[in-house]
Amino acid sequence: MKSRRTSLVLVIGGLLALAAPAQAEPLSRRRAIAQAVEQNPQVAAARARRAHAAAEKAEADAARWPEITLEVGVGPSLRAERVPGTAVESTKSRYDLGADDLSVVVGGRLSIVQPLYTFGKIDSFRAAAAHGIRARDAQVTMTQADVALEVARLYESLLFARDTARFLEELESYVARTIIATEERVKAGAAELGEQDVLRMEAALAGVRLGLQRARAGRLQAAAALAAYLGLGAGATIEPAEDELHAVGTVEVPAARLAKDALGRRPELVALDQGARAYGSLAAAEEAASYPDLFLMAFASGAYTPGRDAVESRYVVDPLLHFDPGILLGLRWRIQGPTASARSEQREAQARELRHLRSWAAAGAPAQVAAAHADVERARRDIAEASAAVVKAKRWTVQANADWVVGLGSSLAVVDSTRAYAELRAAELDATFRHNVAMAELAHATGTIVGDTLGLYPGKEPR
Amino acid sequence: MKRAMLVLVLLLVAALAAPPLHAASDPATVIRTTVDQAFEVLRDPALRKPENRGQRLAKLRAIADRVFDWEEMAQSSLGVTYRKITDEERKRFLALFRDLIAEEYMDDLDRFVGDEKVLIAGVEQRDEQRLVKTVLVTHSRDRVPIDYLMHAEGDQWLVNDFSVEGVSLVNHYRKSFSRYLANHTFEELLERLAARAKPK
Repeated sequence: MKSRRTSLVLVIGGLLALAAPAQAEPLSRRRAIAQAVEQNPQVAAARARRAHAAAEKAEADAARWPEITLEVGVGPSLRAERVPGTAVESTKSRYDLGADDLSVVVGGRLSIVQPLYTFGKIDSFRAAAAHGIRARDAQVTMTQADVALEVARLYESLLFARDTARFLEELESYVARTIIATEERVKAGAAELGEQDVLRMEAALAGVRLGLQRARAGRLQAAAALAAYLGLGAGATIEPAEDELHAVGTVEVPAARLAKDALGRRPELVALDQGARAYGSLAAAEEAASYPDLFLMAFASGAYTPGRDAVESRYVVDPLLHFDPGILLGLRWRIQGPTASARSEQREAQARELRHLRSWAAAGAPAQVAAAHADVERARRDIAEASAAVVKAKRWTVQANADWVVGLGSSLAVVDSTRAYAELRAAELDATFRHNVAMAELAHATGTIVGDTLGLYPGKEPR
Repeated sequence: MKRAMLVLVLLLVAALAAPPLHAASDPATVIRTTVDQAFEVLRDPALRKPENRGQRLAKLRAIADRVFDWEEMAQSSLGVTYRKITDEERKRFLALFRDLIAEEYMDDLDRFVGDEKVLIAGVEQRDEQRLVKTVLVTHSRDRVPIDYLMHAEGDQWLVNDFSVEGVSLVNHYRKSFSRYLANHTFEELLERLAARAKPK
């Protein structure tokens, strides 16, 4: 009985172990970004648009090659006997039909058209398609960069919320125990303590708990959003590889240089430039529509009916029995009046629009770099200031608590010093979070966030 | 003969110059061992239960009492006042001071979550004393420097002062007590401490 129960427990335990979600592998910043840009649906959609552009290029390339049209068919036909000595006379009339007159015809048409000269139409369409591919490539990179930035923001939010919650949990425990000890002493009749001391601490504890609830909620929200970006299922556990939030990345190049280099790296500028060139090529193609297309055409038409004599006239073609090949040098010219110019101008206007947008983006990119750089510098200064202040606040807390322990201090000093420490520690964490987000934004503004080519974000992996 | 005398003198000089021999561990090891023993108590699943809090604190107190020289700390905290008070007052002050400080220290330890670490950052020689520098890494990854000033008592190293965040307990209390005693009597100070002590 005992062994059966033990076996049952083991089986149930095993099943539960199988059903439970596997322990999540710690996720670093680098891996989070790599995973997101690889599989995020927004990036997949951008890649699909790129594939579409590649197919358009293949279609444009194919216009250089011969177009072959073949039609074949089979159907009922009539036998016919030509009157000897004549070219087209038959022994029977068309309407003198008998069952033994029926036959079958097999026939078809073949044409092969090879474009020779199109006044630049084919080349222009090919060039437009090639620019289109480059524009879509840049848009894939843009989407990856946008996804990487969002993932960076969420990852830093997760670390910030986690560390803030940990800190506030510690603080909550400290304040709660101090309240208990104070209540005991008030109850025991300590002369220098009263209800006000307890209320003061309880108010401080409430503030801590409000912050703690906010931090815990923030952590859940950041984790859920990050899981969505990473393509993980709902309820997936995300465990950051970083044990604590610390400042990442280094800026080793002056801001002015970063801004200048950004103009060569930003995928938006590449996309707009290539898009403008694509429209420019389409404009040229539309303009070329005013001109004819020169082509070489080879063709053949044939039909065969068993039991039917061939016609021997050069003027008359028997549709049910013949073979007629041919070759010609052709000109196709669609004269559309001002239509072609109008279409060309439309494309040119679209090209101009993109060129103006590119100019605007080129002006905006350095401004974005400068803004992000300024945010990084400010956050760095805030971290230094807050860190130094936290040390002082901790010393104050130690001294206030030491006096409180022996009855020489006041609850006001304990609460004030604890509040100062809590605010400054929260400010330190906030400054570190802002620094890291600003580094990610700087990497995005310089076009380096995917691949971290400048060591801005996420920078070196922590040891 | 001259050579034998020279060797003897050299040996004597070497013995006088050498630091006192202690059969027990060095100061850093004493702190490390004490911390490890305390963590063992704090991590004991049976002792973590709320109903066993009293037992847990008693074990921690026993560990601390083996290493802290409460009498020395109490005496140093009073400064010159110590010489002016009676033996009875000294006894009462020592008992209250020890209980209050030890209780607070135990209470701090009792807030232990389970993932704290204590790192030994180094040992400084200060004449005959040693300053063992440690860093407590808390659950929230806050780094709290705690330095232990130790002196040799026979073959043991004992703590006669400790600093948290650079605030020396002894120096701080010396100033606080001195400030208080400027306007109050020693009896009033004892009453103040007694009022703070845990209600029995």
